[in-house]
Amino acid sequence: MPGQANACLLKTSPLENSYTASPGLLTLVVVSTVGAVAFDPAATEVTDQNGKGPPDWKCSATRMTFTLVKGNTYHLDISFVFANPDKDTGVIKESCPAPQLNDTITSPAFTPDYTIMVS
Amino acid sequence: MRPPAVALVILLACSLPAFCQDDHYCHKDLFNAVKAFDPNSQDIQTQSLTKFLSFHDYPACMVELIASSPQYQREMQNTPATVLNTLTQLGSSEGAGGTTNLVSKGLTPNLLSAAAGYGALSETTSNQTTTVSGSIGGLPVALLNHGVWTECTADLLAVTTCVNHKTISALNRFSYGVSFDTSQNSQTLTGTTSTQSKSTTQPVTFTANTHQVNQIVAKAVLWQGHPVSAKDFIDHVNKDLNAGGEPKTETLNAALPKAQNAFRNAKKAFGEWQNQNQQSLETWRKLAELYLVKQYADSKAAGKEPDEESVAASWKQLGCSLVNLMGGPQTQCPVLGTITPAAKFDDLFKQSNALANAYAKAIAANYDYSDSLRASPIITFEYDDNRPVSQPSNSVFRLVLGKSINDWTFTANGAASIYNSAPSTSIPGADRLRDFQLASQVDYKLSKFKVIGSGTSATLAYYYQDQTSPSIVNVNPSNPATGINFIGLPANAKQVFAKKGVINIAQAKFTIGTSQSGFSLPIAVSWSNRTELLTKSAWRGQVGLNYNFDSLFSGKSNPGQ
Repeated sequence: MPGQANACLLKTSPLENSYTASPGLLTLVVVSTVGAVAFDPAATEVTDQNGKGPPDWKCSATRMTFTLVKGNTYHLDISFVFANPDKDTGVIKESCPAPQLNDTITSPAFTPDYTIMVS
Repeated sequence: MRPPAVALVILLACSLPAFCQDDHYCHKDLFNAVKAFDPNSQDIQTQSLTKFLSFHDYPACMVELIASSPQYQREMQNTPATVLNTLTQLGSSEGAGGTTNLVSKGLTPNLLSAAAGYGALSETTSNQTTTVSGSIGGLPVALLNHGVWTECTADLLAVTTCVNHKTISALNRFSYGVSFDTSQNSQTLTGTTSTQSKSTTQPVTFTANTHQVNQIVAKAVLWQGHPVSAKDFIDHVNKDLNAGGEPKTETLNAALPKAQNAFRNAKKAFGEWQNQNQQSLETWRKLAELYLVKQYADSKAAGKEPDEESVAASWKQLGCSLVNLMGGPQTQCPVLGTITPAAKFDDLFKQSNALANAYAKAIAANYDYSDSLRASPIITFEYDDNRPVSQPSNSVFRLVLGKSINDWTFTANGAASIYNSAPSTSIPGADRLRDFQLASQVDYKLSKFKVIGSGTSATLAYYYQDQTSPSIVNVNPSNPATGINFIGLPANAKQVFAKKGVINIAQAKFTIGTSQSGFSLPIAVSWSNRTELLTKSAWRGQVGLNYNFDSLFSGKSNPGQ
């Protein structure tokens, strides 16, 4: 959304993949490091605590954006596809100067899930 | 356990080493994580070993760890194995006497297809033909899709037979087709008296016209096309999987998100258990990390360089304690034996099996998807053994080139045909070489017009045949050729022949079908300047009904055109 502040994540729990964030526009990107790794938008689910999708959710092969609304908790269940599952790897990260969400994606780790509390 | 016959098939398929490299995803990531682990670092972001031991990030590998435990192995010993569990052509090729296909395509469906067609193209008489075709790799694909076999690189349970995707890909390069002449619904018998007796009772020798198989086809893909490039892959994902976030369920690739979603759902219970038992899992994980790193360091100190196999062996020692932690059957474990059980995970082994199978299917669907994006052209060699009714059998050697660009598919054929036995020298101009053929076809997917079916397409085709030898018809005055009447034929005639020449055929075809059902109905009209026997131009109609069994066994389909 034009003029909307970018949201950045702060990790709260290593085991739960949990983050906190301020309201704003969250952008996640996947960068291929070997071969080609892409979001699978058709198998990716982003819901709030009521099971609803966030406003303005858009997802392409390499970029996902949606608005974090204050007071909501979002659950991200993300799937990826590989040009060659044998050897392709990628990195999912938030578009922030010092991204705290910055995970490697490989074939056995292609459906990470994250929880984001917005306050 | 692998039955001996299955093991033999896999052994044969694996005779080419490139097809059976069993890189194991979990073991590769584990080895890299242990090697990079820094016990003094508190930075969770850099600790890939910490992530490796988490159901959120590596659910498949955690389930492999559970499956490697002695508790799981004991339980499975008492459990039946079953618990663990646009370039295609449907129909016969030109020459079968009853087909809607003027131009041969390079590929056949994976598992099996059945096609019924009526209406000849270059032949003078029309037949009704039923064709069964499939790929050699069809059976392994069906077994994979039903969880009886698993993809080797995603084989977590190690109790099912596994087959490498490269083996299946190699097997799928070979396909077959058999066409049956279903016009002849009854066998024709000819009785010949064996004596000159004038008696009212006669001994007779019967011969039968049992002509039923009128075409056998074998195809081998010579050139599969380049693997998809990174840029093209991203473009295809944007286009095929719909950037809006909603799956295009009517595309061929609906099987991929379906498999991915199934895996995502299968892992949910494990993530929830982890969230509710954070402290217990954290304790186990820290001990597990220290154990793995110590084993790695000890091995190095002993002068034995650790590798993926040795690190994986150490890791599998932890399965016993993880099952104890999750409330599975309690056992005295040799490693981390003092772990206190956390909350019980209900149906641990059953849910682990479900997750492992869902993971294997998701990986197989990913391979299918990326294979489907290979850059064309595809070049195929085809051999047809034609056995037309009342004509000498002939063999066709054909090269098929196919290329797809968006909704357009271009196909070209070049072929030569020979008689299977030398024709009679009494036929003027007759030679072993029967004819040369050239053909081309363009198909356009009418996928935008969903009201008439998502698999609907329009086709224009052209076929050229230069008959270098006359067409020959076998005759038998007591049992005439089907559909041909002879007047004034001498009683001793055995073969008749027609005037040779050039055959030109143009065809327009409309195929109605849906991607999901597997059914398609091709309807075609063709014009030819002549046929094999008649030297006059003719308009013909062809109609067929095709069914692709892939839609039943893999959740996807690819109606022929």
